[in-house]
Amino acid sequence: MITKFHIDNFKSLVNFSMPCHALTCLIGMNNTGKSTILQAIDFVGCIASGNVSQWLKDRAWKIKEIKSQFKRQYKITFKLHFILQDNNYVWEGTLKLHSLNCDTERIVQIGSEEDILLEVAKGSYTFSSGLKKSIDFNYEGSILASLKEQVLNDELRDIKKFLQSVKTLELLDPLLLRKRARTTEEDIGIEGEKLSAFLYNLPQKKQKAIYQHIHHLFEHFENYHIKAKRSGWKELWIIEKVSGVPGTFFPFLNTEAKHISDGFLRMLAIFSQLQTNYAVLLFDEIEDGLNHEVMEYLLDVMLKSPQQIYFTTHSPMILNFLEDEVAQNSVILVYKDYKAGGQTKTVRFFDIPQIKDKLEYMGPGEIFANVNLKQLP
Amino acid sequence: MIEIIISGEGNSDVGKKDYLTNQFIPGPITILTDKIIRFFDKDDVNYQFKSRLELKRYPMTLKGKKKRFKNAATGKGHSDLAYKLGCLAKENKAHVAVLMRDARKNQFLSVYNEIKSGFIAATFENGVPAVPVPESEAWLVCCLEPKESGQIENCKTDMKKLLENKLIKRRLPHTNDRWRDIADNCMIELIEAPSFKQYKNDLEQKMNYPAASGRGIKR
Repeated sequence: MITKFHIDNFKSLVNFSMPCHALTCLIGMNNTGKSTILQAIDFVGCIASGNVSQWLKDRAWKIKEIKSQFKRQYKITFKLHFILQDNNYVWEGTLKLHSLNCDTERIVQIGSEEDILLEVAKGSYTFSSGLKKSIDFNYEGSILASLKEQVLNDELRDIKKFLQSVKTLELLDPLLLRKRARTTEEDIGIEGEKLSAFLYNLPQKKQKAIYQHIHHLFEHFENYHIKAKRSGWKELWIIEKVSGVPGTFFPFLNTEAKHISDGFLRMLAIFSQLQTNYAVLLFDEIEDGLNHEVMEYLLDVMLKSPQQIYFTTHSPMILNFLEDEVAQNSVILVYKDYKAGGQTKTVRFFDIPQIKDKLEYMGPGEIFANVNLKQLP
Repeated sequence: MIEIIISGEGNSDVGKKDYLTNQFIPGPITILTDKIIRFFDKDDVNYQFKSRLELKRYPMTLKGKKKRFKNAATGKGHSDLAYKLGCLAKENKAHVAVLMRDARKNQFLSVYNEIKSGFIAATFENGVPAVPVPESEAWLVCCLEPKESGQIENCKTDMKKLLENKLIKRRLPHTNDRWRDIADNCMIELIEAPSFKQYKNDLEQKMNYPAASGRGIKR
């Protein structure tokens, strides 16, 4: 689990730090940088995966567009504090934007003493064993992404796997969720365009878990079905149990995904991602198209999930479905400090004195609904 | 300065806000409240008035994980309004909050306890229910006829008509201004109506109780 996230020189994030929890909920006015924070976490995940140029291509962005306007330097620095198998680690590095690789990088285990597991500096990399090698190959992002598994010890292999398991659903597009898919990849795609193929490839146990969640919310939901065409295309169908249809004994209603509501497909996509091995999931405006009964249940499922979840929301309802203790830690107010050039800053919402006191008698979402965010920092 | 936040049912009881001058025009119940407070030697008092509409607008309440104890015996939403008034009292640093609601056909205790539960939900300790039985005009009748006040709550006559008849007998106009005068000239110490006595006792107790805002009221 990421416990603290730091990044410098990424869009409006300059020397930006944020505490992170099992569930981190970002709130704030429009255009304060909530989605930018999700993008930054995802970007750092892509550095670990060595897919920086693909990440930019997927979004049709240029590298100079993600650099902050506040700084001249052509590099992005980051620092991630995380806990893995009860050990505390820090991964920090500097991504050079000309070459898209980290010219300096460190993975340190923080215990009673600091143990440097991997260090990249001055054209060479060094392991904790003292083994030092010069970098005589090209790579993108972190050197971890380019080093073969067999040269890494178990600890570094686990760290690499963790750092590469960030999944963003910030770009989920209901139009693409409906699309047929051909791929056999174990991913729903950046915009959810491979949802049908992803569901098709899920093991039975996970499919059953998705079914149970949706059936809990919609008693008439019988199941979803993926029709696999000979050509390899996968089509998503939703089956509902019906009764009392005159002239027919057929008790099921089959609807192809292209005629299913946006909200239902988004919900299916979200529940499906909670069945993946991604360690970190990022959702932008999670409430989109979801009714409050769904939100409440979804939040309860998320809180029980072993995955670390970040989401942005404008919905007071969502916040009101959090217990006070969870909300106190998890709800982060994102704002722009216009006195400091308009950089994005954060503060724990319930650490703000005039907000904290209200938690005694109001729900977290009620406070959010009754407060004027424009009057807060 | 003692800050009292007060809300009622309409213009003819607690009062109203003059929206041109934004001034609070106290009604007979506020005047009676002021008389009670002054009776207990508190004279530096300021009233903040909240209309029913204002209470409906703020604070907004939502479905969620926080389950507030809700007493909804009458189904009239008295506890919700008391909760909202309690929240406003906390935020506006009021020492005492008064919510006036007629008992009408409901039992006095149902309305009284509902209002109390709303103040408790807002964690505001100095909330006082003002619950005239059967309605606010009964207290004004008591002011006019203190000797009959002990029996007023058993009277089956419509209180508005009774008050009107008593004013006609005295050749006085049946107007809001007259009602305010009646309240202003009321000998509160002579009133024996149980609902009024309860209100008087509650106010006395809260006036001597350290306020939730921590400022306290000097005796």
